[in-house]
Amino acid sequence: MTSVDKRGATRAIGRRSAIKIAAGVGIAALSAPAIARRAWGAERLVVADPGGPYSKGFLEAFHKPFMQQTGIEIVGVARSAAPVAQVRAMVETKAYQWDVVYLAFAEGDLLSSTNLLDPIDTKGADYAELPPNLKNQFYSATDVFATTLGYNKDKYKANAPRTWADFWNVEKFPGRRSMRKRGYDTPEQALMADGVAPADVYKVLDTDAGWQRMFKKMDAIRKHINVWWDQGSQASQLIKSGEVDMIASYAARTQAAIDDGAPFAMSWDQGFYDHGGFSIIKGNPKAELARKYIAYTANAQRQGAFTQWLKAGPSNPGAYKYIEASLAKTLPTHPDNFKHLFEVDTKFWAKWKAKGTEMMNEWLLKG
Amino acid sequence: MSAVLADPSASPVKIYKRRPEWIGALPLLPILVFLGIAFVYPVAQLLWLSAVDGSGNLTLTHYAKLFSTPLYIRVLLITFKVALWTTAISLLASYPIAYFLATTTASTRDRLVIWVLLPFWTSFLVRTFAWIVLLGRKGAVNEVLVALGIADAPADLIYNFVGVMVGMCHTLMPLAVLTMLSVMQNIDRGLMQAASTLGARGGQAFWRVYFPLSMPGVAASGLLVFITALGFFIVPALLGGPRDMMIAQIIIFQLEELLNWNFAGAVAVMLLAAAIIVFAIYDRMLGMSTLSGSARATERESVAERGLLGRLGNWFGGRIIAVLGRLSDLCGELRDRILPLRPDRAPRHVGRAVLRVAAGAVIVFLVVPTFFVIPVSFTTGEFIEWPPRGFSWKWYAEIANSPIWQAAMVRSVSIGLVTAVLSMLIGVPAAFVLARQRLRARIAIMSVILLPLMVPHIIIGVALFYLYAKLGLVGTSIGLALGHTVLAVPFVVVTVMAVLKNYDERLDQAAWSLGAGKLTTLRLITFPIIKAGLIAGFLFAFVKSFDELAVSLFITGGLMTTLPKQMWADALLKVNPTLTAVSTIMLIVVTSAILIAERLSGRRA
Repeated sequence: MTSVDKRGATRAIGRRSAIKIAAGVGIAALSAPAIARRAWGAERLVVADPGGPYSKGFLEAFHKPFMQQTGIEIVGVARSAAPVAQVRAMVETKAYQWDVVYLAFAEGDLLSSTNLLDPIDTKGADYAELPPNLKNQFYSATDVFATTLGYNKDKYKANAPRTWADFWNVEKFPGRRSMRKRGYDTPEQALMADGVAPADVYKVLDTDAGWQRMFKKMDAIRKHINVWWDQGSQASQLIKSGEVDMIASYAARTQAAIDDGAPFAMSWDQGFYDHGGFSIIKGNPKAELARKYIAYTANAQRQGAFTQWLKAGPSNPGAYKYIEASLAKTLPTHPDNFKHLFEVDTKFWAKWKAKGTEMMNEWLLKG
Repeated sequence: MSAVLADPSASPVKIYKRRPEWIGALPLLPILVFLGIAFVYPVAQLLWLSAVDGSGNLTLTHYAKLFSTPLYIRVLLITFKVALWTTAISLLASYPIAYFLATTTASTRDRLVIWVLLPFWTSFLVRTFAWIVLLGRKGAVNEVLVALGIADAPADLIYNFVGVMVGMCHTLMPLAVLTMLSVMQNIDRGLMQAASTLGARGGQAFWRVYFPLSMPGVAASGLLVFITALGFFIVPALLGGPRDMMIAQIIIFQLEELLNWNFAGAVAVMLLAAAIIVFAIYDRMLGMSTLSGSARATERESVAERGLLGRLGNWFGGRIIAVLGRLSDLCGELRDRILPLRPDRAPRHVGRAVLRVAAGAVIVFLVVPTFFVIPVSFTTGEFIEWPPRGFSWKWYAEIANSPIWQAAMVRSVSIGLVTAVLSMLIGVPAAFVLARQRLRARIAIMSVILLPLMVPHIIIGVALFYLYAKLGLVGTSIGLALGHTVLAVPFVVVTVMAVLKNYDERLDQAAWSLGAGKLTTLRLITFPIIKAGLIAGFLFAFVKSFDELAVSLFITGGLMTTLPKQMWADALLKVNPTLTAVSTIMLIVVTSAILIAERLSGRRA
């Protein structure tokens, strides 16, 4: 007993000094400055992006050349997947950690409708080349992303699925399938599989009867869906590992797996697109600088450069002048692909997202 | 103390007891003040939104909607079901290995604990993707199953409830093992021998003597695992099927995608209410007395205090233990009948062998994803895949060339250490009071301390942002460490309470009577004896901070790059092998640090 105590006692001293060392290291690290914002007057902007290739691409294609041209320092920061709550918190507390934020179009719409964004004025010459649906008073799109049907080309060879009806056709196209576990994206696919023309999808879905019809179609595919994916990185992993033969997913994610050798291809038929871009957080003292920066991101050549890092479609069609042909044809806004795509109706989802998600979750639980 | 010395006949216990309750409870003050400011106040403000409408008037519409839509209750029930199964499996699997570790030699224990800890040092994201690749249809496990002819076709090992259990138990079992171990290490093994001398066979001796003494560890593990599991969502979302929906996901969706903070608050309040009810039932049935109250308080006394439910729980517990003891002995007898013991052969240790196999299996389960990560980090491919392609150092080169990754590693370790030290400073004194004194408000105080585990992290993140904006702490490292301390301190309190339960206070009294001061007694007697629990508490607090994403992301706006944050941001399109390379580096760094610490303290002994 005594020997145990002695041993324990000396160990305790060892632990105490270990704690002291730990505290010392910690305090030293804490006093090192983070990328905190202290000097308000400095010509410096913090731009929040979704991370991954966006961080790298924005840095090389937008931040660096803009800094060189204007002398304004741009700090890129990877934000959380859904930044709207963060923007609201910043506006309500006036603790502006970001000046410019990259938002999906629907997020921009939600924030501007709740009065949490400052205007940009995209009517100017800088934005002239952007199509009208990719910009508004509070938002300027930089890139377009598509949801398409990806399939294993080794498995299906010449008999490849093209449409959502093909995705539903388990006799003609046997194989393991994956869809997104969400109340949006998935309903559009089900209705098109049920024969609704892309142009009419949101008209049909704008009624309870339309949702019933949609769920009836979902009932038919339920037991053939082997994996319901949740995160985008999971979708590319499913393709890469050969877990499934057919998947409804973002084109850029599918493409990332294809680029690493996955034997997949995608059909642009009945695909749909959404987009993301920059907005200014309401009440931000640096709004003027922010506008300057955002105008710069509409530039065709800069957007062309961005596609080297992320295979999303540039919002400025002029960007294709600066993109190599082999890369260009994999991008959603390339004319050959873009003609097949229709735009996700953000106004529709602003009305139905809460209810639709609730219904979809109920449907998922029933299975 | 001078009173004791002046009058040796006065027992120090009496002096201790004569003081008014509030003086003895003073060590609770730091933790209560801290949690009051950094948790209760900001979170209550945010959750208050669930009771008001857009213009700030009181309303019940959010709750009306919550209870009139069956979805939310169903998801709540699923969440509890997942947490319960996780707890049951984790406890069942962890007990044998904890017992094995507690009863083996010190050097074997030190060596094996390193393995048990390994899952802690890889990020939750990497662990989850490791399981995705290991358990997929074309994964390593299925390949082995098919090659050995165990399965004809690849089995569905993930994207269902099995996958959820694998992922969650893997994450939480090290917590359970360590908590139990820290209690078991203080059980005097002479007691089992004494039971044998008095005629109890192995089974009775274990179930009637050892098992009840290990209960504080089981109770503490169960509590921590269950409450932590309630808040999980990424693991079920990635490894589960469509029906494995967790309430945290619903809250995050309402809060972050719909910006409907009022409804998010209502869902969170429902979760909290349910969790507190479960905690109250747990307390009545199993009893906080397994966690708190003096070791010398008679069982009858504490049971009487708990009323009907408590008596019921106690009665059932007693019956079950008696039956288990009988069953174990029957098995032993049966074995001896079939294969009689022979005096010319060495005595058999079948029980020990079974235990060794069980412990080994658990360790394999815990370390497989970790060891999978190491070879994958040398792949030439762009994805985490099995088998890895070729051999290259390129992912390590990427980290070597990236100041962001390096800074993230240093920052995560530093913030983890500060969090652990802060949590120990306020958590250990609180645990002493809660474990040793019969405070009238004990249950209420315990609830406040446990609440940070029950509130979804995103709620704490948003709430802290509003508080920090007022205090100028937004985006600071101090703010981050304080935020992590809110999440980490419950682990310290519960773990230290569990080890104190079996602590014999007469040892302290003996030291006092020999003239040792209170601090000297703590330093030389108490702390060395409860060392295992203190170390476990410190480790849990560190790991909680080290692997935390939601709060860090929100209260720093992403400007403070921690390791989990950098991994999350990097994994937008695909989870690339950089993450496995970072994990491998962390594995090596942390494990070496632990080994060196052990070596150093060992040499001094």
